[in-house]
Amino acid sequence: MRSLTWFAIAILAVFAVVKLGGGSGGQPAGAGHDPTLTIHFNAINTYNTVTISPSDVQCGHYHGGKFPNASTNTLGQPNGMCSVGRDVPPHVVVAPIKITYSGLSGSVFIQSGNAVPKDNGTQWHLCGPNIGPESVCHGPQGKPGPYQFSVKNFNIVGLGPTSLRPWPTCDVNFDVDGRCHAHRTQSQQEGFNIIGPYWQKNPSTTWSVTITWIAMPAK
Amino acid sequence: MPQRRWQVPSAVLLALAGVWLAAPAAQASVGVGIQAAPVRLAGVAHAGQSYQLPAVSVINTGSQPESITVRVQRILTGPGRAVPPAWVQIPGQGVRLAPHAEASIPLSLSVPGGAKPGGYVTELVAYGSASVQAGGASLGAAAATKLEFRVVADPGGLFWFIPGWVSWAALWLFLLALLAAAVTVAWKSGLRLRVTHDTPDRRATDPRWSRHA
Repeated sequence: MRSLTWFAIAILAVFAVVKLGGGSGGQPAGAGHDPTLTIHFNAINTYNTVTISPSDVQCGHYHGGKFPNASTNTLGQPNGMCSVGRDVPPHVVVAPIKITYSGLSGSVFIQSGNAVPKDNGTQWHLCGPNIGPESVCHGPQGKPGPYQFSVKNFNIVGLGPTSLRPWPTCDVNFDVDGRCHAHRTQSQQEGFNIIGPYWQKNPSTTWSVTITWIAMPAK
Repeated sequence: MPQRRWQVPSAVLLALAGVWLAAPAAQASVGVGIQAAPVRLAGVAHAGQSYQLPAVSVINTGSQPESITVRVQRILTGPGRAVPPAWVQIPGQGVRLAPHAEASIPLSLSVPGGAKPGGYVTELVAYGSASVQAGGASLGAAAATKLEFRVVADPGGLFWFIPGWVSWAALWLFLLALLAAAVTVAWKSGLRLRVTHDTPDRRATDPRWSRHA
């Protein structure tokens, strides 16, 4: 029985030696002190950000609609239109909203919500091309139909108005190449047009729509 | 004539006051930032388990206070399974930030039992509550970063809930017990293993103490 005990002790000793040997494999035998120096320091947490700074907060240049529903200070019917900024040739393009991206290289996306009346009545739904069959503009000449509206943004480079979608998509007006790539610090001046519905019966005269720019990471 | 003399300074003062009053509105901005580095789970995830994810950092880059809400939203297309929003718990929603202030929002991940193995990717999108008005439109800002983790098929079968080091320790103990049992059986059966050290100047038939000259 004593031999069995010694055998078990020997096995345990072998395990212990193997374990200790593996743990200190990188340490040279007989080294009195560690010749390396470890330096600890803190690094900043890098952010990707987008900041919106409008210098003009008016939707102006109202036009469209037909008598007696045409107006120069409200959206008329059918398909009245107003602009934040101006992109109508031959006028100089004015884009009063500054979009600034900062951080590592990424991209800028944009999305629009529905138009909501102040009385919380029936909303106007965003429509436009390439959004999907349920969001096709049903009005004449591809314009918004009843209870529909569209938002198009543009930039000072003159790419032309681009329809926004109800989900985040590449803001092709952000980059001069017509893409939405964003470098470490890049900004763009943008404006947008709002085209109202062909007709609608909500008595509310105050409407709001939320347009959101999103700083996106690189793919 | 004295009345006219005061008209010019008054007009200048009024104009300055107008500019001063208009300035804050014109310079108002909204902005949101989120950490550029993706949020990654340390290690792999197993179906049916919950994990603490690293907190995500957000910042208010605008000129007014705002609340930040983080949503799980797959925006970019690419490889990796989409993460159902219900898998990610975000208890620190609606954190209020002063201009240029930042915060860390804790995150946790609950992988349901039937989750398929593979890489999962989504975006964590931080939306700011503040907006600036522009002609009936509310202009808002948001920022996104990636959330990545991998769910692996469970190798442990029924014992998936036992940590890995416990399984290894149990395996070694089992092997040792097996070895001890084998030695005991061999000992009791009369099997002996003799280890001898044979020196060249002594014959095997000689007594142990004898030595040839």
